[in-house]
Amino acid sequence: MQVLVADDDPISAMILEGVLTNLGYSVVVANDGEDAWEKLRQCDCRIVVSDWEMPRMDGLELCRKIRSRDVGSYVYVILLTSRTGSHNLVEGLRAGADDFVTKPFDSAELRVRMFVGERIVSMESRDLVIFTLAKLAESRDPETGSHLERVREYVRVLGERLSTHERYGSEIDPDFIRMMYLTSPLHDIGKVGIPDDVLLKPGRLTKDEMNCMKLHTVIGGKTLDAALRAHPSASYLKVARDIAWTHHERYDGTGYPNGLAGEDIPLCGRIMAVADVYDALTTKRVYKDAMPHHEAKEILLAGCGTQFDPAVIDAFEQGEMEFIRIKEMMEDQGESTEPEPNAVDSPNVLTN
Amino acid sequence: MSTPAIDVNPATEADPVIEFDELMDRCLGNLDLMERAIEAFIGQFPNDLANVGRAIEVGSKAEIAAIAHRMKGSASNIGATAIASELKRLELAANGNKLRDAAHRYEALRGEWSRLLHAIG
Ligand SMILES: [Fe+2]
Repeated sequence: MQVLVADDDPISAMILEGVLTNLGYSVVVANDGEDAWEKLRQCDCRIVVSDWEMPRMDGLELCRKIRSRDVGSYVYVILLTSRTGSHNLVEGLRAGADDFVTKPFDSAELRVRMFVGERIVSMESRDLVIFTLAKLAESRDPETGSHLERVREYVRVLGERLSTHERYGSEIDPDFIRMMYLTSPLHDIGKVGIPDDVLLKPGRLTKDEMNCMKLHTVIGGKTLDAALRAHPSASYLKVARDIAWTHHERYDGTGYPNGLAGEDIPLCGRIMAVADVYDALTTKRVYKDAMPHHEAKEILLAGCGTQFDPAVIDAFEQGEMEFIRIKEMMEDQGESTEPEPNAVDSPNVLTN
Repeated sequence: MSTPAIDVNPATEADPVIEFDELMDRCLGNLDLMERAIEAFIGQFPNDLANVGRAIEVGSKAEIAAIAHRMKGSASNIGATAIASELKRLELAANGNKLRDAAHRYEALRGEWSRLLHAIG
């Protein structure tokens, strides 16, 4: 990650540059606010560590300029303040500073504060990337409407209910729920790799076409796995990968692509399966009416222990009222004009 | 013109001229960075000192304060604590409109600087 250091004192700038380089950042040095502002426009620095008092343009003014810039991504600003100076932190915050480090700086403290900044900046780009990817997948998916929005809500409800479950409680914390909420829209991302004549085929698919369609789990899973290998610390990518890869696995081991069974299927995949099927059943398509909640519920309960994890079905029953509320609130307006490539053929409920 | 401020904790001969442990921590144990920083500090200081001297001669308080402030940043980051304290006093004197006091501080600063040069040979 590129970091900009702004300090009019060359010795301090040199030490800051050396320390931040040691910490793995790529550092650009500016010798005052004016210079920093110029360099910010030329490079892609996401974190700025700036001295407060500088000639030409001081740290506060630099902050204000950064905040008033109407394009580009969020820049995290850390201001250096002297321990004894009369710097007004409120004034700094008002100018748009995110954090402060006292001078002479303590490297351990700087490291922690940089880490916080990095986390915030990467969260922003993470959400953006996921949103873009999900939208891309959606544009190729005839199942448009609010499918993605509803499904992520269902996933959240299931996650919250399961977090109180004695077996899964330890596995599900608010972070896990947040990551599932964030990445569940990517579950069918692999559909971008399915040829049009299969993906957009009206009516029933042949066996070969069905096998081809099933590959969307592998394509999506592998794509996200490659991203995860490049960024092993990005735990949300692991959740995204697991969801894409395993949301069509069945609890009894007869699902696809790998025929995983029981708890060999990642929990997020087992949760996604219930949310995805419920939405497919209760949504109106050209060839079928929306199934009322109680019928969809019957089908889900019938699949308990065969298609679905009983614990997730429990969670569904507990959160039933919320499911109904979400379904009603986020109902698609009008009819989908695109035909559904794969019918939901109950009792072997199959979404795609 | 007021009387010179009282030194709260003036440096003594026993005080280290550079707090090497502190600098080492700050540089995350990077000896090369430490060396480069000290070299740059020693290379730059005489020039800055001369500039402060000139600003005192012409009585430019703003300039004294500005240079002293920047020098203080260098000195404190390098771990030259005694020099940093002197620079802080100099900056305060200039900001407080106390030119005579500033001149005193300047002499003390020069003294600290010689002590540092002497100590590191
Ligand atoms: Fe799917």
